[in-house]
Amino acid sequence: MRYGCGMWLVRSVLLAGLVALSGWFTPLARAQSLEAEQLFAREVLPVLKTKCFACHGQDSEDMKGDFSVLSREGLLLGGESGEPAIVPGNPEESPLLSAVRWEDLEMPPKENDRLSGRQISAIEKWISLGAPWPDDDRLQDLQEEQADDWSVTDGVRVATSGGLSVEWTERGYAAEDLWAYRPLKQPDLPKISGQVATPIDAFIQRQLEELGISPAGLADRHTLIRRATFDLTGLPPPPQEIDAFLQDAASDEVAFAKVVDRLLDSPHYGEHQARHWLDVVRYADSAGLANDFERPHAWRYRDYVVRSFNADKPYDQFVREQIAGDEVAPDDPEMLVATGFLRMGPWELTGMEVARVARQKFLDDVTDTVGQVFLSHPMQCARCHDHKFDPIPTRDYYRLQAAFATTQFAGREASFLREENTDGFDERKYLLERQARYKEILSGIQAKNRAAEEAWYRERGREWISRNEARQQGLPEEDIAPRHIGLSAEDLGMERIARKGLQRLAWELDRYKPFAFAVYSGLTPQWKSVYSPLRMPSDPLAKGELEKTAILTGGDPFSSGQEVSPGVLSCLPLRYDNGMSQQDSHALPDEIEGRRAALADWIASPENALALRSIVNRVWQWHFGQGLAGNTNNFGATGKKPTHPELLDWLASTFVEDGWSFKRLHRRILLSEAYRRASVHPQSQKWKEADPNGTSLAVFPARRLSAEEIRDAMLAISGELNRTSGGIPIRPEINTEVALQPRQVMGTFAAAWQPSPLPAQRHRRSLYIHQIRGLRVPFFEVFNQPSPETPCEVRDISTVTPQVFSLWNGVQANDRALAFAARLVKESTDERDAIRRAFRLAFGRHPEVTELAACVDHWRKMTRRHAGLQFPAPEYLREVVRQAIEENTGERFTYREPLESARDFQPDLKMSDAPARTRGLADVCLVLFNSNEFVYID
Amino acid sequence: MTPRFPCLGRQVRSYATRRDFLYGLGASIGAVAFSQLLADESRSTDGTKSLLSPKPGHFAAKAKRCIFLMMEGGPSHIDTFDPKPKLEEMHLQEFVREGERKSAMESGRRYYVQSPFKFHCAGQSGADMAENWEHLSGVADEICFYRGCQVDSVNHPTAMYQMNTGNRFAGDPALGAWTLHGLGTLNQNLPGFVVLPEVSHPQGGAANWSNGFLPADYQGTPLRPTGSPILDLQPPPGITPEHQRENLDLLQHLNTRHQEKRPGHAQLAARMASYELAFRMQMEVPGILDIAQESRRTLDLYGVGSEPTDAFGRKCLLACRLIEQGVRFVQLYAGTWDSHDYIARAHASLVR
Repeated sequence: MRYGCGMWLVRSVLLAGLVALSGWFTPLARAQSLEAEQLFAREVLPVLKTKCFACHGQDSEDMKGDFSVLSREGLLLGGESGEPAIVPGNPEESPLLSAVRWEDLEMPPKENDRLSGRQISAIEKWISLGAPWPDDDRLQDLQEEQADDWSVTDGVRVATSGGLSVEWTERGYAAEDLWAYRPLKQPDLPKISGQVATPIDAFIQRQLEELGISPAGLADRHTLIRRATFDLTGLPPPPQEIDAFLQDAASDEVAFAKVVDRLLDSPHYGEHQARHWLDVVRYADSAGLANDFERPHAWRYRDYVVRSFNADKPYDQFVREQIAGDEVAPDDPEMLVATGFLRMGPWELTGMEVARVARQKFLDDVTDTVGQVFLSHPMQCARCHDHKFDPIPTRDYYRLQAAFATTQFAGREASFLREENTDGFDERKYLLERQARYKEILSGIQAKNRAAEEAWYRERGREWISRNEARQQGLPEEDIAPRHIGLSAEDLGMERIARKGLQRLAWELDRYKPFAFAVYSGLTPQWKSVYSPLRMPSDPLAKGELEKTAILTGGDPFSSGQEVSPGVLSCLPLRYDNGMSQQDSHALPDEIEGRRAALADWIASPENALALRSIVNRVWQWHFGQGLAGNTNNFGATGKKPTHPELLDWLASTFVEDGWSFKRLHRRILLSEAYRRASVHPQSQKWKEADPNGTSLAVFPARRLSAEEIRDAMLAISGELNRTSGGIPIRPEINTEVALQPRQVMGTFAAAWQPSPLPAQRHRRSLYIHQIRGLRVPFFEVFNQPSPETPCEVRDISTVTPQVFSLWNGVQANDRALAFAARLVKESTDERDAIRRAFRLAFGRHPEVTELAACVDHWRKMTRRHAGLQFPAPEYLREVVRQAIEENTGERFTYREPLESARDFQPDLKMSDAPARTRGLADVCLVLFNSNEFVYID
Repeated sequence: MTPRFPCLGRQVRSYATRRDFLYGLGASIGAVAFSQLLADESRSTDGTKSLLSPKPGHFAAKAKRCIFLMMEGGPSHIDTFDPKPKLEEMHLQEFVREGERKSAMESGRRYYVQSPFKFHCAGQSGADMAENWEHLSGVADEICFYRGCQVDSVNHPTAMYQMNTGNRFAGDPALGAWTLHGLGTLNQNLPGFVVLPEVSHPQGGAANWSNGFLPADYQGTPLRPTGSPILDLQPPPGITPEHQRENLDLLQHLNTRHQEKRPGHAQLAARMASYELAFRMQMEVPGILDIAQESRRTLDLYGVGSEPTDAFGRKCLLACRLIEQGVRFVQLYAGTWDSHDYIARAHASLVR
């Protein structure tokens, strides 16, 4: 595949097809004459072209008001009124000016088209200067002479596939807003005065020297191993790993490099990096919207991402698999699973929705998401109009969308891989039990209805006949037994609950079958609604519509405008060479199959600067909390500019040289001095004055643990963490009022949240928790886990009181503290030993003398308190009683929802089961979990 | 996060969500330290005034605050305030809906159905009203009827999003968020946009009161209708405030030592303060929203304490208390209006 080197140039405005009046001359001063000509070429003519020509000139058959604006002659001649439209030198006498001011005539007639103040004054000044209209050659000369000057004031022109208006197409951009689209060049390493460890540091050091500040010193080994272990694996370092690092006689650099390599090899590395990626792609196990149906195989995509990171899959391959795995290798189950990416957004098609609208929702979603995720460029601004700030015409939006016009949904057969975790499928029995119950309810209600119908017909001396058959036979309604006869409001309500419950179960029971949440390329099926898991059609080309993509006016799927063919972003100098199209350098193939594969090749090209900057910037953010460019999903004009643009480009170029390897990129970043610095600056005042936004990287930015890291770390420290990788989603205990809260879905309630019955099942890493769009885990929500609706750019970090309630009062934190205390009691010889161990596990260090004394004292004091306290054993509900309202009649009824797995539920260690001494120590442990030292890493 | 619609303008930014709950219910406590914390907060964000400071509108308006009663499922217009006499002529005539915008649900045999209710002209204005609005007709002249509101979807969450945000798809700011964006709020110690959902959240969930691409400060704050309005507001059973105070003292001892070694890390102090604030809030908040403080007469007026008006009346009264405290926008959800067949029974049971 060849990639042409693109046009990244200031482009001159082409003016063509103008009728010009030659020989025009007035005795104006030469300078004034030039000014008037320039004004005409640069401001007046474009206005006349875009606002007037369409009605007054271009169509000689239909010339409104018999008035032509195509030439100075036409203006002087005027229209029907016989009056000249302009009086050169006298704007106030010129009807053209009063018309565009909307004083008598209102031109252009539409409010939306009205000229701006600036445009009106340009016309006014031009008339006052004698209204010169230079001929085409002169215009061309003017353009060329002034191109450079005009680009400074009017901005840089960018060649694109063209906007909806000439104005947009010809508009200029501020040069600094175009940084992300520029071709990538490996920058030279900067010359700096001091010595630095790595190329990364050279770029940072140069800026520090410019700012006149020196960086903080390097962090100590304690700090460093805690920081690196959380950053790479999302877990705290165990004491033996800390000891090994502290005792390593090698130099700090060498010893730390060993730690980094060990962490990169850990299976937890992939889990933690997957969490970052899943934030961006909005991973969830349910579809959202009205039904919030289960996505029974989404978990396989989640595990695919983990495996990809652990295997250090080259990023270009990772891109190709997620965008086009099915086209690249349709027989490889892993490749089908990878395409789940394309379907991660919320989506459904109910009978209450127009199928075309639902289809368009997917197309819009995937277009915007691909832009944000891989190109750091939101696309949806260009859905209804040409992009207001960036060089993305709405045409490009639909050209990109056309790459997905043949993308169809299916659960595709994909056998489970050896490395996939298929344990725990046994939980299926609870769902089967529910299924059997719903079937029983339905048959009971049907029998009741049937009996009443039979009685009704018997009273009329007739044989029973089914309602359907009676209607087919054309019996009049009064001769058919009334609908729902014999059924109470409660029956009707239960019928709906059971019927919809079975519908929901069909999705959930699919979880254990070897299918992939995937796509294929083919014709668009004519669905009316989707209420059950989808499957692959036997022939993707047999039935359905071959979608044609068109620019949708205002983004409305029923207002198709000009048709477009598949293509990539035309503002990028990088073209896709499909070997076919000479004219259209950014075209993708338009066959049914292969569009996405070609798009993926374009994105994953070593020349796609936008995509490369995007990914290395993300990885930088994963370590420093903020990207070098501050908006990781938006490199356009409205995004933050990179603080170290050359470093960003160096990382991007080096990433390709390193074989697109994430692990090498992590290693380069982690071994830099910038990463290894202390988080406290010795001259913090001076530093803050020079670097108020903290972007100089003179210190390592301390960060709060994420929601998942807090939970996982508590489990790891309490000794409860089950480190198994992958598999079907698990459910920890959450606040009972949320778990059992009725949750409305279409026509019924969704099932309650039933925690996994066994502690080992519940105490898996947070990554594996069932992520339901309509039911967020409250602990995660308050600690800023993003909602899975839109691609998360960076997690918010807030400090709010609900976090205190959650971590201080919540049952999860209290249970972890108690388990931690029980572990300490079991593993230590005396009080002081237990506290020392607590500090080592929670903070990775030994307690200071005063801390040790304070904690031992507190333990004793709280044990005395606890000696007088009794805690009742918690009770676990076996069923929930729900108040419901029958939809048809509005009548209230009550029903019982059994919690099938509750009978097998094994609680964690509870206060009621622990002696006072353990409970007293649990208070110390709860304090440690709530401390700043625990939730922040330096 | 990136604003979803950067095309709306460069000034649209996202702010930390931190302020939301600091305002939170804490609010009417009126504690000095609490207000102080908020004041510090607003300065530290960008050195300017709070995003929620009251702002003048573009037009002079009489209304200062808004209570939005969202009747989820949708009272049928032809059965409430918008009589269609033509339907009486067409009653049970069949029709077929055609066209590309038809959903599966709209296919098949459909019938025109007249309203089971009689209409009359209420008040001096002669407003059309179904007769079973026995109380509402007494205040007919206080009501402005708008009959032009339509949505493009018969699908619940999409229609709800369009009602609340103007867009069928989730992710845009709700009306309450826009109101705060335009007008700010009157009491800086309370959230400016409060939502009172049913026990079960409406279809489409929290996206119905989202700040969308506006700063998170404008997001609606839902209060749980049963139990504690905020999760985990109370310590585990058996743990007293004194017990927690002792734990808190050890926590702050450890935090202080930790902070001394990290000068200039402002978040550490903020987090320590949030624990003290939370400790005060958990003791004082439960009383704040307690409508039992209202007089018997007021409770009766709202139908609190008698069925079937109790649940709805409570929320209306709470909405009123919040508005009186200077909350700019309260949205209240009342479900079960999604009547399909037995309108005479289903709607009548909800109409007073």
